[in-house]
Amino acid sequence: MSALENSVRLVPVRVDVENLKKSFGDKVVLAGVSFSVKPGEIYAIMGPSGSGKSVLLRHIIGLLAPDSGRVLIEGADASDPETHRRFVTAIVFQDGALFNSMSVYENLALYPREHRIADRKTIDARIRDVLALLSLQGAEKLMPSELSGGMKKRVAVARALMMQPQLLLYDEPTSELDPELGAATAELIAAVSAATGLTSIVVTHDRELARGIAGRVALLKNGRIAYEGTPAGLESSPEAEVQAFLHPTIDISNPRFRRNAQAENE
Amino acid sequence: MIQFFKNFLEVTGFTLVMTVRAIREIPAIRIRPVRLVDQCLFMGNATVGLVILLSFAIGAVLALQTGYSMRDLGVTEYIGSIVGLSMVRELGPVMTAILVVGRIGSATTAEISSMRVYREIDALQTMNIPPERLLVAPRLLAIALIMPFLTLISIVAGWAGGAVVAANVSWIHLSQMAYFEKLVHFVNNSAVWQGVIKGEFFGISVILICCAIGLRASGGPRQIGEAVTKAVVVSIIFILFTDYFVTDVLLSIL
Ligand SMILES: Nc1ncnc2c1ncn2[C@@H]1O[C@H](COP(=O)(O)OP(=O)(O)OP(=O)(O)O)[C@@H](O)[C@H]1O
Ligand SMILES: [Mg+2]
Repeated sequence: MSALENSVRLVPVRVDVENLKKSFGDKVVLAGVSFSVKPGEIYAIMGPSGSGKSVLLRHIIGLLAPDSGRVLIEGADASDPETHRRFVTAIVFQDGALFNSMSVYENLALYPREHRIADRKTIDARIRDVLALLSLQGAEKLMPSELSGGMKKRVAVARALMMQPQLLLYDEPTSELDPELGAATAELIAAVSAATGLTSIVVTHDRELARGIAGRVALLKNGRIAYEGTPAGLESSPEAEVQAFLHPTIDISNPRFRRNAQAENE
Repeated sequence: MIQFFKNFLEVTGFTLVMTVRAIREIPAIRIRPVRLVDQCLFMGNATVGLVILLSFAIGAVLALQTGYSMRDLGVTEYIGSIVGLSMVRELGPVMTAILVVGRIGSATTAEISSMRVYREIDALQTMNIPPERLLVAPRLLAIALIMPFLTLISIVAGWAGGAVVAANVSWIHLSQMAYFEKLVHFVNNSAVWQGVIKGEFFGISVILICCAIGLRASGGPRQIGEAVTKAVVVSIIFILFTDYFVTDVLLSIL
């Protein structure tokens, strides 16, 4: 684990999302979302598919601008590119967004090379370390099309780690991994956070991950934060909305598609 | 109509901003010259053979047509001057530019729009790497470097096509000597400059148009196809429309 032991301590940043609203056309996706992430914290965001978790992350990383409300990184507006030059921020995209015409090695080397952060030897050594952390030894020469879904995800994590970010956003980092690799990735997220002190925001459907490593967890539903607190608090929340999300019952005699159709007819 | 105009202005503005950014990124190519070399090799490989083949054919047809018209007037010895000048001032640069659209421009738009659609450009942005540096600047410099050579190759191939036809078609039967004597007599430096400058202008414009249309793509696989079609159509329209004005300007200054 030399890569982690040698990690530089980073200055972690805080993130404030203030009454963030975003619609696409007349579809309201975020209807006033507010929360704060403390420097160095691991903050998990859960929520139903399509609830706007990825959209929320795209606001924090500066790829989308809010309709109203603000996202602040250390008090600076996240939709201003300058903010992302001042603080090193990185994201692991849900689908990886690897550069398809570049090998794994080139994907990982692009950032340090372009920003001339280190010489070639140092970069090579770091790539080896980071790949080893993600059990991807020997994958340097492969092209993204030659990787499995889970490998792509891990290469995407590796590429983000190469940036040595102060703020790292993960969009479902474990969704395509088997339970054991999922657990390993969760451990890695926690270990990186502990070693470097960076701030992490993890969007996930993985309750084990949230319970295991997150300081706090938020539940995003219907465009709002329906719950925010400790992972244990989420599990024991009396809110019907939260319980319905966490413990869906599978009822073959009265399936959801039929219930939904009925509700629409009424 | 208003919508069309607004759209046109928006696209033009986008292309201009992209161009300025790309030009500013050109010095950065020194750091990773391999990208420039890759582009030059790709562009050269993709076009040289076709440019020779098609320009030879155009030169040949041109000699045949002018020969046929001139036979009645009894001035077939002027074929050399007509083929020579037409290739240099007009057909060489325009043919080359159209081949560049088909072979390089379409590939450029396909690659860049697919990077847009699969969010690779977003990833670049989050890494603070301007897409202009990685994707536009090397292509811009590469086309600027190789376009003069492509244009000259096209011109020479066209001349050769004309010479072969002039010498071998029985009812023209003009010796190579006579053909090239007239050609050299009429083709002067200023005509060659006009051709090369025109080619350079078209080549650079085509690459910029194709990059810009690629960068503006969004959606899915179908939009990649649409972007490529659009890039080809817009580029060819651009070449044929601006040709008149470019020619006008070049004729008056050179
Ligand atoms: N660029 C866009 N244009 C239009 N609608 C969009 C766009 N991006 C997202 N949406 C819509 O916003 C909503 C939220 O999308 P988002 O990707 O954030 O969901 P998510 O919570 O990440 O879901 P999942 O868990 O399945 O990844 C969806 O209904 C989607 O259709
Ligand atoms: Mg998502």
